[in-house]
Amino acid sequence: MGRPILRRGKSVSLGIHVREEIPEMYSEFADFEVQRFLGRPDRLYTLDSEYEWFESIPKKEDMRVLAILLNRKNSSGRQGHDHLLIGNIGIHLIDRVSSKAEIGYLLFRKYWGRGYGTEAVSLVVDYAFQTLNLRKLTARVFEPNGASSAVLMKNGFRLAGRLREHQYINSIGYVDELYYELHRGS
Amino acid sequence: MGRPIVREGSGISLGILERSDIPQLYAEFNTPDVRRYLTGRERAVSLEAAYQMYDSAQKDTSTMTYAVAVNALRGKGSSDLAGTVALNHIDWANRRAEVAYILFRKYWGKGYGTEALSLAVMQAFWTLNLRKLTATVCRPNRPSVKVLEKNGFRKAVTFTNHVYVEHEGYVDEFIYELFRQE
Repeated sequence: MGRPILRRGKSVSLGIHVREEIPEMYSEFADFEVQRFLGRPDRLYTLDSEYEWFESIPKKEDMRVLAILLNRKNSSGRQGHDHLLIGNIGIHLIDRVSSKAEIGYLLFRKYWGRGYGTEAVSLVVDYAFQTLNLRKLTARVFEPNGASSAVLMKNGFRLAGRLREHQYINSIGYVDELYYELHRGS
Repeated sequence: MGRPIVREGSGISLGILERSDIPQLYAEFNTPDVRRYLTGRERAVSLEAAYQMYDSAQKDTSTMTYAVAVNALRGKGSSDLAGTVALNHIDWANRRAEVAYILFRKYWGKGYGTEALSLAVMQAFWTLNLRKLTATVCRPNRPSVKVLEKNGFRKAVTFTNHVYVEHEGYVDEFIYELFRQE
């Protein structure tokens, strides 16, 4: 059975997470290089807590979390695609009154540097503006994570400011947190 | 019994917020002037829910709310409560928190907000041993912006047309920051 796909891009698509991929995500999240830019490296996550997180996704009105999938030609060679999980992307803190939200995303390390993040963000921006009918998105990046800032700027996000020496990152020290914003139609 | 005081100021002090303060706090929060820029202003919260929020905050180490108590009224039998100041989202790994404050309408314009924030800053830096504070405020809330700037907070982020405020539309929101001076 194929999973529902919500946005199709050239190289990647956004789809619904399926329970079977939780253990794989759990081990990818534990990657030091991925984890240190996610904000809560001081926490311990268990596989059970990841399943609880998965169960909570459809119940939460103030967030949407989608799987980032690499498009591949169907192995049977004919029509359609099958998909490979390469990361996930979320719309968080959905504020209906002010019609805005914050996005966050990660790619598993071996899929970095190929433009997949840029395309995934462009798809989630379209989903946020055209499906959720929001008017604004924000995102936060720790300054050493230059790849993530580049993804935002390629998608038209503008730097709104920085909180200095805001986050402690293992083996780097306190780093600035950069705040970006994107208005619909800008 | 007098309210236990955690930080003494000249006009106001920071004290323990008691469960018996909740009805007064609840009534004041539901006046339009106080509510105007309050986070969660669109929600209709019952008194029972306000008690539950108070109870759950007692068990939460990431948030601390203090009573702002008027010194002249302390121990006089009438309520000394003029508002609250809170340290929210206390992040112990990064040693920072977000500060927020509310004064009841009749205590506006007396410098109580500025003093309440200065006491909360001392509490955060010297009792909790935090190294940094942030605060979020929207552009039209000028008295609150002034309270931050008088306490040395610096504007770090400007979100344009960010939050909806009744009669004003989408307004800019600022994040301010303050570091502990060693």
